[in-house]
Amino acid sequence: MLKAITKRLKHDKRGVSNVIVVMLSLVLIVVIVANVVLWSYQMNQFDWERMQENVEIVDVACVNSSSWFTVESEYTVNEGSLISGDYTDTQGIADSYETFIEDIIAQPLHLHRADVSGVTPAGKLMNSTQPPSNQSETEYKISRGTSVYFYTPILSEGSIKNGTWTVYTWASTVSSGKVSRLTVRIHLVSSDGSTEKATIGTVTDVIIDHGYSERTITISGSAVSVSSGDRIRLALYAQTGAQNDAKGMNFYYDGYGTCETPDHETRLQSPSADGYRLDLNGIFSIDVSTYLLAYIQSVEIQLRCRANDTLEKWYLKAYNWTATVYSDSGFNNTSGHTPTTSWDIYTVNLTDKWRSYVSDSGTMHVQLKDNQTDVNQTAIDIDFLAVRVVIDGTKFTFQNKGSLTSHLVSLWVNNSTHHQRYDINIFINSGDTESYIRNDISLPNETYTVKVVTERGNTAVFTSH
Amino acid sequence: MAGKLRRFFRDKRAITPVLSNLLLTVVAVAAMSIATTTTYVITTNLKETMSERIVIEDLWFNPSTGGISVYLRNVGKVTVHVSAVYLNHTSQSFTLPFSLEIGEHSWLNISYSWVSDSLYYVDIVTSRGTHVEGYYKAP
Repeated sequence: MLKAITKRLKHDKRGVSNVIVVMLSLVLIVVIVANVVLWSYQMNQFDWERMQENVEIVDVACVNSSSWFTVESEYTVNEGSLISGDYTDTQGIADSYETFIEDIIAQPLHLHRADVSGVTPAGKLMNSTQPPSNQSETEYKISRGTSVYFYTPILSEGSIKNGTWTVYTWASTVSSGKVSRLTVRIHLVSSDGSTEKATIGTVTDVIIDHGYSERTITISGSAVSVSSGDRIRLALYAQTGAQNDAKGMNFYYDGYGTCETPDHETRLQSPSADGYRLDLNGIFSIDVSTYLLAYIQSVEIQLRCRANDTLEKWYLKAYNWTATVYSDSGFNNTSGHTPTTSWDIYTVNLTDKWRSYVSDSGTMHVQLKDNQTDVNQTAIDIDFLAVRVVIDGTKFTFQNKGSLTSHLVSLWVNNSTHHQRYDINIFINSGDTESYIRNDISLPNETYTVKVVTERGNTAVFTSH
Repeated sequence: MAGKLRRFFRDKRAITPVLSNLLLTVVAVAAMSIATTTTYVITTNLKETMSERIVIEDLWFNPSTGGISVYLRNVGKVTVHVSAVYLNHTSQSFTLPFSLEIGEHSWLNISYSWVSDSLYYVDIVTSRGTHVEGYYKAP
């Protein structure tokens, strides 16, 4: 049967070409219709969505400052301790707060190249002042069997508690492949250095090898009573002996350069300075994508706090990215704030010097520090600490009353003489109200019209009256 | 070899059916190519015409230049070319050529000395015949 049909089809060619032509024509018609109908459907959907879109400009207002930018991670406590709470308690004015307390601090005594007059043996100055940031480091060579001495300024009467003293120094032997043995002695001496009144601590056989690195030498110190006029003397002695480098050893100090860097100076750190201090800093990020740096006029730092010691002053400083130090230079208030036992607000303005304290990415490091060491251990409660920018900008409030998410792409601020367009990129969900601040837009003084255009081509208009 | 070729060219039998079949095939292929090309052109034109959407974001009677500036945005799915601008049904000169890619937006400057407090009917026509139009009153 099948064989017969196949045979007949092979012989009967009539009509086959007609069928093929009709089929191809049908294919072409289907392609045309499908293309046109599908595309028409898509564009109809676009038009329908455009009709459904309903965005309104609810309000347009001048703004003089941004919202507050609060700390984004836990504060770094350089001196003192965290007692209770965490950084989130300082992000808003509320019942919760974070409490810090002063700690007894170890006082660094920096080694300087300046000679101290009237002391025997002759020696150089050692005090709590860091070398200037722009001062180049210098090198001192201690020959084998010799010493170098450093003296503090004359001390007041008091006492030095027992504890661990630490010498940080950038040292190396002169000769490669050799070692030197160092002896470190700390004495309480008379004002002219001639009388050793007490030995605070000694350590010997500290191995110094070749190559500069920061050496940390710890010395167990005894408690001593200090009379008025005494000094502390540090002696560094390169030990004798054939096993030590005959050329002695070198060390860098009093400045910054290849070896020493800020906070890594050569210094003697005492176990305590008989005082309490608090020094903490937090990192704040200004949203520079919203508040363009070019249009920021200034920056404000605000602190809301209370303290149990109302005699001590507290200072707000910020990290100066140019000078690489914490500073309040250029602030409108550098006299500090004396808190009471109830909540106080202390605000400082960075004036037109703000740019040195804000990095290009908008990061600010803010420091809260007490005035100086004192005998009272103060606890401070911080309820709020934040920064904000001072601007001359405009806040727009948009509301999406439509059923679809809207994408705002253009913003116009027009008056009778000038039409100004701004690129924007805001998505507003259906039913949402969105605030949008621009610090590069100042509203005209006379009557103006604000328009916003969506990606679908709809426009919302707001007119001032 | 030469003999074989000579014999091939002298043998005229069955040449006509071969030629006719070949010719028919060529004609059929050509006809289908034309039909396919026509289909492509027609559907592409239809699609492009349907896809054109432009909006006037802003129209500024600019006092400093004395002309009229229209800010256009292409919100459609095809590049648009503005071919004519009419003010009160009169063709006006403008910066040519003026084209907007998909999503692009730009000023179109019309050289026209407008009169304050006058009403203007602005009609912008694309090369595919799409109109975007409206009444605007000069300040």
